[in-house]
Amino acid sequence: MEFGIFSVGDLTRNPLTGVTPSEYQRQKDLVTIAKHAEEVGLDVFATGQHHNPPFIASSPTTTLAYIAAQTEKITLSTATTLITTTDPVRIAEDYGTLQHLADGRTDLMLGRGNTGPVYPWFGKDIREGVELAIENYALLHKLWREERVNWSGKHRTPLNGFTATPRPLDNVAPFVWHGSIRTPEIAEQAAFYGDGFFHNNIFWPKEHTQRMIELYRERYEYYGHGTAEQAIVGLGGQVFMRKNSQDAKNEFRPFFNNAPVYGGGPSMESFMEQTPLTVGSPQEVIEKTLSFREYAGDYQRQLFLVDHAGLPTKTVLEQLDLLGEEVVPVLRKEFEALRSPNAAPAPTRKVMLKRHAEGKIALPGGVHTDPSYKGVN
Amino acid sequence: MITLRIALVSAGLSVPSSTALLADQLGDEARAQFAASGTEIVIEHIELRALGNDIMQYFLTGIPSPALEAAHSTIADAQGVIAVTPIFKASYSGLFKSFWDTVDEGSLAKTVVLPAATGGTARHSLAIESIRSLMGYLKGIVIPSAVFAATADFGSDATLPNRIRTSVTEFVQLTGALAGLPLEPVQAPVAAAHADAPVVPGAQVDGALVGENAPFDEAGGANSGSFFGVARGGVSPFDEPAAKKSSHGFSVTPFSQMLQNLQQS
Repeated sequence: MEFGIFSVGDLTRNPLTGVTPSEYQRQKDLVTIAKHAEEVGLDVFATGQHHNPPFIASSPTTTLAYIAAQTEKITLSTATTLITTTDPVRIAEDYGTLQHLADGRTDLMLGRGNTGPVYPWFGKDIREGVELAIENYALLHKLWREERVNWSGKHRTPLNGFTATPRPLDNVAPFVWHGSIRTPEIAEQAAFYGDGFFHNNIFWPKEHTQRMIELYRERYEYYGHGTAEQAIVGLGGQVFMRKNSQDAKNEFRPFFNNAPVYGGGPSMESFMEQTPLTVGSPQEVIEKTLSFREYAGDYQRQLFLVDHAGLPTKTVLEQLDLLGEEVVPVLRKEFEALRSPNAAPAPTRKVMLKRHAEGKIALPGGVHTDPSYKGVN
Repeated sequence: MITLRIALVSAGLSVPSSTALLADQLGDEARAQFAASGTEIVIEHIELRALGNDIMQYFLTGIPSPALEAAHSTIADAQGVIAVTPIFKASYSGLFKSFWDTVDEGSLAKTVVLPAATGGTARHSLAIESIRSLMGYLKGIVIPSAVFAATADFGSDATLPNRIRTSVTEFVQLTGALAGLPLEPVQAPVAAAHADAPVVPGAQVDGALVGENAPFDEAGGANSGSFFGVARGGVSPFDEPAAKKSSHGFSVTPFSQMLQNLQQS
């Protein structure tokens, strides 16, 4: 199982000092954070993709390549890559290039984006979001697997005799996760292709997360990529820790109250009751994270959000220290002890290369071609 | 025996509130009429005043509280909804609208809706029609006769009980018909009867015929015993073969179908 962090690249005022970091500072801090994540033993760093203030993550592959050059082991991924408003040809090229530069230490998580105006800025219509996700990924999938592509579709001009360069490293494309909070069509898409399914597990009550994952697992099995138990699931989460639980709550509260994304509505305590947000001691984070398995099953990737709401970088690095020293080693051990022998391994580069060499390549739609869906008992 | 689920949603703010009073009367009449027709029902009352903070929280964070989720579940499971709001500033109240803004699109599909409202005087009664378009957007099947009660009506209006009775009859008939029930024509007594109210055969009282040849009479009427001409004991037009539901409860278009739809569009 892989553990890591993700950043949405937000530029948020520190409520204690009243200062907002400059864009330059935040870009550099993001790199520092990623490098420190590797230093403390985490497996994954992800960031991505926004096209408006107060964010600075408009060009994820640029940032990730810069980080790749300064790291050796950590996997670089996205949260998310906008599959709706980004040209799939550019995704194939940018992430293809990144994959080569990072020696294959990359994968990506596709999302549709939650910011309405981004669609028309890129000539798209948010009402066609799901359609775009489906059509664009079908093209991306093709570009990474076929040398010369002839393609036509609804949302992009046609391609004739086009080759995406560079070709995937060792002919094995980066692993793809499909992220969705509440759209079952995306879980279905992930299952169809035998790709991974990621749920951010942050703002949504766990019952919803559970339903989406159950759907994905059921359909993964339906499409013949493996059993439901073998499906590839990733979860997000949010934590703020101090050795002493009450200290963590006292310290984080002004940041929580200040963060626009928490709505200025419910209290931190009621947020913690209703969502996976954990503000407390490392032990509390361990317990809460282990409980995710109750509704997600054995899963392959756990990413934490630790750098938002205007937290100073020094504090974020301390969070990483606590994660790396006290939380993740225990989680690795505990999850391993609970894990079913039938569960799939994390889709690391090594695992994907081995599967490819053994001819275990997921075919879109697997072995089933029957389009009628009646559900499984 | 099928049990119908009815959600009674009221947006009254004051305690006691005339909106709640009207909601209670509608609920009682519905219970009486369903009972008279031999149908078991479960009425769940959703008081929006208690959900005020939860609704705001949902707007600000996207997270439905357990109480709000329960209300959404009740709406989704209901075959009929009685929706009652005060009229504030020429329309349904903000609280009423806010609640329906949190409900999923199409939540009222195949659900019969009885719209009702209270207001200061009868001059505001047409504002009730604004509920109709809101419910229509949610795919609700709105009965023709909405109920408006002005504050004064609760003491003195001889027609209010009949208007309640007429609307509830439409509601009961249509809900029953959609559920495929062979409903007996309704002859239920008015729950809060104004025994002195004069009944003139053939006269129109608030748009409803009273007495002989009234649409809902047992003896006559082209649609005897049924509201929309749906045959008694007939199959509901919305019948579906019982689909086996997975634990997740989603029914999703298979991916190949989604691709096909895309290619054909």
